[in-house]
Amino acid sequence: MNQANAKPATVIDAHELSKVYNGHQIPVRAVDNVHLHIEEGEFTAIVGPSGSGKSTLLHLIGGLDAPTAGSVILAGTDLTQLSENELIDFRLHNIGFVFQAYNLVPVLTARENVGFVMQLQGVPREEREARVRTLLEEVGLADKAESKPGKLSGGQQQRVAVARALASKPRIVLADEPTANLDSVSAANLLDIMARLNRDENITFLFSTHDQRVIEKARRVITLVDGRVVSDEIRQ
Amino acid sequence: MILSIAWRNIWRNRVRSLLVIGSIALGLWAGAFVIAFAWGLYQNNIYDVIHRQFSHVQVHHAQFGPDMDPHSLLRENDTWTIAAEAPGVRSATTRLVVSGMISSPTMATGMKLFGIRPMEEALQTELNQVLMEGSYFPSNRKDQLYIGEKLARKLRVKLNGKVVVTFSDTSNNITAAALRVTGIYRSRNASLDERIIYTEHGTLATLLGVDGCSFHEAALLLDDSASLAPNVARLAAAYPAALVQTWKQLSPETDMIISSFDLYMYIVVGIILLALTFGIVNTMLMAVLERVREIGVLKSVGMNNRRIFSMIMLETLFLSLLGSPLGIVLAWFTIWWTGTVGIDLGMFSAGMSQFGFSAIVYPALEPSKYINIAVMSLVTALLASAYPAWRALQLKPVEAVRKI
Repeated sequence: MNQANAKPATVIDAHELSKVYNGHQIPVRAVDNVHLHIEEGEFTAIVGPSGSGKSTLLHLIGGLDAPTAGSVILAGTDLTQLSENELIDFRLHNIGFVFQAYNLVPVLTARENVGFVMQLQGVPREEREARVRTLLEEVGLADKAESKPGKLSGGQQQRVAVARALASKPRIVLADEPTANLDSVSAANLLDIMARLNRDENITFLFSTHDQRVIEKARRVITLVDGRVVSDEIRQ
Repeated sequence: MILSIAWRNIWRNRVRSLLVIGSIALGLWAGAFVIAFAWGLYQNNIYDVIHRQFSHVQVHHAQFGPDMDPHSLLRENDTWTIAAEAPGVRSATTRLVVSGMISSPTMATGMKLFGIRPMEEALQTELNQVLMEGSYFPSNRKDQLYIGEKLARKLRVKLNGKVVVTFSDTSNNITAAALRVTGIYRSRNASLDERIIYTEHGTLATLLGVDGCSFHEAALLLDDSASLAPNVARLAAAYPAALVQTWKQLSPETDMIISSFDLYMYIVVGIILLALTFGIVNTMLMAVLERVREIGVLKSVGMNNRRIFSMIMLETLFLSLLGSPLGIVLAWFTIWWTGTVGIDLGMFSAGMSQFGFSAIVYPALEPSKYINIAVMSLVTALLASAYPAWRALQLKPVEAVRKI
């Protein structure tokens, strides 16, 4: 089989995934029997109204939360079978996260925030520094390398967060409402960067969002309502 | 990187970190100073025990015992002369000692009468230095008595007044003699002042019916305690049948103070550090709970529990490493300064002298004690941070990143 005809590898395989929260004795089914199949190189948005279970689904896929039922197989590994430390190690090498509130380490500079994950991976210093430079250039923040998060705008912080998410060369980047706190210019800028990285470097992105700009960029849109997948639209 | 993050984290809340550093420094300073002060008090006590009471070594007849049997005499001989002039011996003297009664026209009480050689005794116990009134054995008169101020007051006897001493002589006869108070002293130990009186060796020898070479007690004052062992051996060789005792054996309560001092030190420092522990636990717990979201993110991106735990522990370690040396330097300076000029506790001197303590205290602390205290402080800080660090491990990444 030649490269052109090779079938993309499966990155995420979720089976009968459910998450029930027992709040005040009334169970809340945040994710309800979701089946999901994401292949390498996808640029997919999970959409839905507030409380539809988008973030919870993303957390389950990222191994940040444990499902009540079902399984998540990410890059061939069943996350439900891993211990806490194994999960942390798995995330370190396979998943990049972008959070709504940026969540950079405030005491580290942009350069250090991006390099931090690679340092945890044990990447040699020279290789690390080179990749940090490349990533900061890709997100357009090479001149802000020595700035701490407090000195960066929201859009700049989120771009550093994207660079950090990509630093570990993950199989997939999970982004939870990445544009929710950004103005339109910063959001458009960020989306362009992520779309380019997806196109040029074949990085798989999975977003949770209800931002129309993200939805328009996505090549696949999965709609959740009350924790259930109600539509799965693939765009060409 | 963990080191760097931990170091920068402690400066995120500068005031809080400085307060913790200050608390650690103050705790250490207080602990070290209290111990140095106590050690200074004890040193005074030890100095008095050696230089004012027992000297470094004493020799008694094996039968002399606590009842001070007047028949249990030893004699000065050539080997005594050799021992008294041996290297490391600052001064030596022999004494006669009897117990009996002292009475004035209005009062009678128990006493311990020493027959001393005034010149030698002045070198040995600085007895002439504590003179309050009159003179220290001013003449060759045979009836001179040197008496404590407290006893004089009790007997209502004044300078040049007469008292009668009564005791058993070596023939088991009750002997009485009228002695004239020529000097009144006040030593640092009020309880001894009330019981101990002095006359000349020759006077007491005559009253006991013994010659001038006989003695009940011989004492050697050494240059320092390092030469104790050879001089004890030399005296033991001079008087093989006698009882040769060091000041620690003669004053076991002082020896006990010295040997229990370490325990005392650990208890005092332990109490101070316990109080410090609560401060550190509180501060570090606040620092962890303030960063719930951040710690959750660190876990999300791949920082494992061991690293999270290390980070929190390192933050406390850094605070301790800043606070401890500061406290030690402060303590060292305070102890050095007060140890040089002394702390005058004149207003408490009456009460302190009851227990044999001097009114001027020179705090002192061995270098090894500073190290012990610093190590205890570091261990305490690390133990205190274990709970906040454990709390950080309990944070679930998903709950942490959801927190606003």
